[in-house]
Amino acid sequence: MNKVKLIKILEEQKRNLVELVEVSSRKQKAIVVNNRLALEELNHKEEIVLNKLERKEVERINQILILSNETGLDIQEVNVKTIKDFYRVLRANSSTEVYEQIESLRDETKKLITEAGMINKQNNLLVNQAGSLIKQMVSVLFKSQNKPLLDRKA
Amino acid sequence: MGISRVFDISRRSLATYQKAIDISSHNIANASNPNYTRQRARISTEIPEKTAQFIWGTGVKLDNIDRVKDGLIEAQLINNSQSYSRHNKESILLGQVEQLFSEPSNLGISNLLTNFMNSWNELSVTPNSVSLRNNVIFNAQNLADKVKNVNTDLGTIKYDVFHEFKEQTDRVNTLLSEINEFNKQIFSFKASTSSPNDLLDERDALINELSGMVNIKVNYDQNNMASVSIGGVFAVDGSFANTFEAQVVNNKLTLVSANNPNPIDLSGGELYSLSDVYSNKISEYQSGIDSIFNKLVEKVNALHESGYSLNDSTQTGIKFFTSYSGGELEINSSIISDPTLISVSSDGTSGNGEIARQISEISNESVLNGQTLLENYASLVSKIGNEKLTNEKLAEANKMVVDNLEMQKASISSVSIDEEMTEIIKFQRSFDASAKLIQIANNMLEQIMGLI
Repeated sequence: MNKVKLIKILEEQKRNLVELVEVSSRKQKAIVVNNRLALEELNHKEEIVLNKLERKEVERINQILILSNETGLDIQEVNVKTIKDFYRVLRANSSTEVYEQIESLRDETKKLITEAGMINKQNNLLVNQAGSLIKQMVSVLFKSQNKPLLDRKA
Repeated sequence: MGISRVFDISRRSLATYQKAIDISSHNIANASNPNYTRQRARISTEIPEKTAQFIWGTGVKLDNIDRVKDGLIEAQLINNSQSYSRHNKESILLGQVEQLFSEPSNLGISNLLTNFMNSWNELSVTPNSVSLRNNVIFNAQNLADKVKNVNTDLGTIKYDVFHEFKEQTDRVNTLLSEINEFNKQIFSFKASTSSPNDLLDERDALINELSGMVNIKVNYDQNNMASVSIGGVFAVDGSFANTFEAQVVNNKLTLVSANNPNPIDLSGGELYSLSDVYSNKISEYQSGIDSIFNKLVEKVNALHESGYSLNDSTQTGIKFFTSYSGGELEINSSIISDPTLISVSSDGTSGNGEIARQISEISNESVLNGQTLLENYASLVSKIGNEKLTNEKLAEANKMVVDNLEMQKASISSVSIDEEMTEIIKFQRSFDASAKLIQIANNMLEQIMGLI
């Protein structure tokens, strides 16, 4: 029963990651075409997706702890080492069908994380460039104004 | 995605945004240039690359640098500038005409004509008075001088108008030649993907100036070449600039193309006003004055010739005015040297002032167009005043439209440094938020990846 629940969590997390990839891709376009309103809207959507991802991850970790107790593994904390032990024991205590389903979802999750990471990397470069652009622009504007920005008294 | 590809995207994106900065700097540098049209970088995504699993974005590119302008407003501005210039110029010229009539004042024809008629009335009471006879001559001379002055001044205005028309025609030819040169330079950019915005601005300024001078129609082809016609006659395109000259055809001042002898149909701009005032208005006013004074000469002489002089050998059949022609009212020189030749007696007896009385009565008779001479003159002066006022009002109305269109144009095409600054700050906030979210997402993804 708890394995089915883990599968369900992994599926939901996968959907969250698909959504993140989609939002990040749209965000890239918004940065490239300087569409500020779209960028603000996508920032908001990304924030919601990240919240969902975080909550689901907490749920997944809790489920791993529950399952590890069921299988006799006494895991106090999920980390790189204990997670390997968990999957080794899970494989031994699960039908091939269930374990393959979990493995497949893990693989898809890894691929989606890689894709999202790549898009984020590109977005990061674009945002940094945009930031330097803005600095130069502000500098140009200040020079052209040649007067205090706030004190406009003639 | 390889790291080299990331750097390639980065390099191209940086170059694109650098260009966008250059455009903004150019905008800001031209913020106070009234002929400048704000420019905007048109940026789009590069064509993405497909791999076996993913479609990778390849960054950003600069498609074009657009001029931010509204073609409809520009066209309306040209039409209304023509109309404004026409009415404004005409109101200025008619103002000059109105001034030279000096009405209402003691020095105006109206008062001088009244004085002349009154002097006959005074003479009719004391017909033998030489001083009153001299008074009649004095008033007649004053009237003749004023009529001559008015006509001379009208001639001077006409002469000035003709020369201004010629000067403006020369300027039109210069503008056409410059537009032609700009067209050629703009055409040389045809092969380039970017458009020569600054050259387009310069050419638009020339077209705007031209539209204030004469009625034009402007068409643009796919290569941004402007083709201009004046009153339906070809004026300029990318390959040829026509030349025009001022000509008087059948007493009408008009423009004639160098390769077509037919007069151009002027309907707007300052050249129209100059032509209208020269060809129609001044001639019409001169003709109005001529009618009044021809009638005065005819009526005074008819009565005067029937009267008898006061001198020893009583004479009759003497004309008081020798002639009226070309604005010159000539008083009989014999009368000027001998006032006793003024014939006021109807029967040759001394003390008879009947003819003088009848002459003075002319001022009350409806002798021209169902009106008295003074009423005719008042109608003429009032017509000039009304035409000036009408043009003044139309010019004011057109000015309001032009100002409004200029404001609309400015709101679209002008550079606002504050606006650019505000927009940039908004961008900065959005980019800051993006950068933070990217950081959060990366941390989270790393965490999930590590524990998956």
